Amino acid sequence: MTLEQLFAESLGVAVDLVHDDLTYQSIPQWDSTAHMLLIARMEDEFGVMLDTDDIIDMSSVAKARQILAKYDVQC
Amino acid sequence: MDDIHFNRYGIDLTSLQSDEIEMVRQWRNDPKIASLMLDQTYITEAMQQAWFIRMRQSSNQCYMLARFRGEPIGVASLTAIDMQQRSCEPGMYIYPDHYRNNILPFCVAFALNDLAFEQLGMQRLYGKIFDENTASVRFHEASGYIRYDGNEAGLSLYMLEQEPYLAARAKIARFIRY
Repeated sequence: MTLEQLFAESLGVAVDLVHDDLTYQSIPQWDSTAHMLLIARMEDEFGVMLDTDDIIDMSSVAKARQILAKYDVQC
Repeated sequence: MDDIHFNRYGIDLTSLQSDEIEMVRQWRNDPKIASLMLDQTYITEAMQQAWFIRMRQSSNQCYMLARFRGEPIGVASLTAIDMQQRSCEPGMYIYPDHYRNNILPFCVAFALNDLAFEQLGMQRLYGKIFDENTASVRFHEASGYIRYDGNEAGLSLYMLEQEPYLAARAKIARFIRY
């Protein structure tokens, strides 16, 4: 699964709406509950355990990609 | 009520002090916070001062400043505290944009709920949420609340008991790794 697909499924939006500039203040679907669903899906899909600071900092698709790279996940 | 100092999930909850109420007033009057409130009246300094005096003298409510790593980030409250019925109404908001819409609101809510259930011995927590506030509805449901009533104005009533709360909390608190 691509990062874009994972975001789309977790936030309940079309995959073509997911791009690096998508931030968590920009669409109503990205609320606290969706954020935690996103984190859970991300950990399951990529086999990582994210630091809480990274969960807080994950404020855009680009930032998610950057954080996952720290865990050796290229997506 | 006695002063409260409660720490959990990386969040410090401390009873609101007089030198903090102006900051809280400015947060509360900001449209991003005020628009989520049942009462959206603009609060003047005099109104805030009068409210603070009434609140500190009251035995059935407490307002706390929530801090994360020493930084004030929001307000948490327990109102309508009924020691006979063992019930109350939690409320909270987070002010800095970078701490909203992620795990921090859950950290504050869980700290507040733990305070209510464990320290104050509450058995049931109540919430009132406008149906159109879908983020709040989803947040409360993810925390274990169930809807038990509503009215034509689109205001729904929710309640939370400890057992469903603990089950809901476990699913999210596992990501709090301080």
